[in-house]
Amino acid sequence: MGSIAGIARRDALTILELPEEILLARLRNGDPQSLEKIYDRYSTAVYSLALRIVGEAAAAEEIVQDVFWRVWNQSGQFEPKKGRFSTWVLSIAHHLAIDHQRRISRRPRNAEDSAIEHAFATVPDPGPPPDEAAWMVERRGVIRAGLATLPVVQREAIELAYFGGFTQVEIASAQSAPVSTVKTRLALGLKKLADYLSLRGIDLEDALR
Amino acid sequence: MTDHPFEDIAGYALGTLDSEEIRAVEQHLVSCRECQAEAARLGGVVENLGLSTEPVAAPARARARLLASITAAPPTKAIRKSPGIWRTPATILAIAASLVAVISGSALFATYQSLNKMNTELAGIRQQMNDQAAALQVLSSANSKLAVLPASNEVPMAGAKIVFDPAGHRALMGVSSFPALTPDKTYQVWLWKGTERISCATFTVDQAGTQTISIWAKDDLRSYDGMGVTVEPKGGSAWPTGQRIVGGQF
Repeated sequence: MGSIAGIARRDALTILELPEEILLARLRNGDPQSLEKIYDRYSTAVYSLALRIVGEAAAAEEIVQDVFWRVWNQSGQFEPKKGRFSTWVLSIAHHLAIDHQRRISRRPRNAEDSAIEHAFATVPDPGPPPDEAAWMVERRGVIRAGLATLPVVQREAIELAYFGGFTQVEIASAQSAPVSTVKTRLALGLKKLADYLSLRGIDLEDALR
Repeated sequence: MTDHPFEDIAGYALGTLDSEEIRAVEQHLVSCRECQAEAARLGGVVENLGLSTEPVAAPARARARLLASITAAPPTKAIRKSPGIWRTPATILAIAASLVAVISGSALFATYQSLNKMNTELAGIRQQMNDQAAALQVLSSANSKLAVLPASNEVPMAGAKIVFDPAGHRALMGVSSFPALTPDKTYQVWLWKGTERISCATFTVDQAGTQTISIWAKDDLRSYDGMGVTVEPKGGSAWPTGQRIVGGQF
C-alpha cells in the first residue's frame, strides 16, 4: 500500500547518490534530474574536448548543448557491455566537434599555428571542477603523462589526427614528412601510449568492447 | 608475419585512413584475431584521448539552457510493442488503442524482484504512457498529415509511413516489410536538415518486418527537409553510415 508512496519519497531523496546504472535507467525514463547529474559529471570533459578541437568558446558551448541533448534523447543507444558511459559521451562530443570543424572548413594548414596550439595557449586552467569524478581526474593525469613521454613528432601526429580530424595525408603535409613516415609515427606513438596506459592499470579493451 | 597491417590499424583507430585503406583493414580484421586484439587495444587508447584535455568548466548558462530545453521535451523512444503498420485513419486509431492496452496489461502482471527494479519498471511505464498520450495527440490532430517515405532501390518492398503535424515536434512512423537484421545491427531514423542528419530513434523489427516508432524532434517538423532510415551498428551511429532503407523529402 505504502510502497508506491515510499518509492516516490525515496526517488526524491536519493537521486544525488544514485550509481551510474540507475541514473541511466532514470535518464531513459525521462527523468530530468538524472540528466542534471550526468551533466554535472561530464560537462567539463565534454566542453574541454570540444574547446580543444574547435578552439572557440561559443562553438564549444553549442557542442555541449548538442551532446547532452543527444544523451537525453539517445541514452537508449548506449550499451554498457560496449564500454564506459563516459567514453560514449566523449565519442559523441568528438564526432560533433570534428564535424563542426570540417563544416566550417577552418582547419589549420600547418601544425605551428593550428587551433590545437592556439587552444593550449589561450585557455586558462581553472583546475578540475568539484563535480568531476575522481577517476576521471586521475585518468586525465595518466593520459597526459603518457602523451608527454612520446617523441614530439609522434605526439603531434596523434593530436592532429584526433583533435584536428586530419587524415594521414594532411598530417604528412602539416609535418612536411612522407605519408609512410606519418603512418609509422602514428603506429609507434599509439602503441607506446597503449603500453604506458596498460602498465598503469587502464583496461584499453574495456573502453571499446 | 609481414602481412599484418599494424600501421594501418593505428590509422584505422585514429580515423586517418582513406576509404580504400579502411576497407582493406576491415577485410583483414574479419579473419585475423591478432589484429582484432590490436585494433581493440589501440581503439581503447583513442577513446581515452578525449579525456586528456585541460579541464575547462562549461559556462553556467549552458547548463541552464540545456535544462530549460529538456523540460519542454521528453526523450524520444521507440514504442516497444508494435501491432503493425497503419494504412487508414481507422487502423491508426485501432493501433493506438491496442498499444495502450498492451502497456497496462503487461505492467499489471509483471513480477518485480526488487524495489529498484519495480521503480525502474514504473518509470518506464510512465514514459510509455506519455509516449502513448503524445502518439494519440498526433493521431487525433486535425493538422496531422500522413506521408509515405519512398523505399530505396535495394529494398523496394520496404514500406514506411509517417503521421505528423508539420507545426509540431512529434511524429509516428510505421514500417513494414523491413528486412530482418543480424543482432549486431539496428535501424536508425534520421531527420534531414540541409546536409545535417539528426538521429531521432533506433529500432528493430518483428518477424513480419514491422514496427511503430515514436519520434520527437528538437525543432518544428516543418523546419526539416526530410526523413530516412538506415541500417547501423547496434547502438546506433552519430552519422548515417549504412544502407538507406527508406527516405524522402517532406
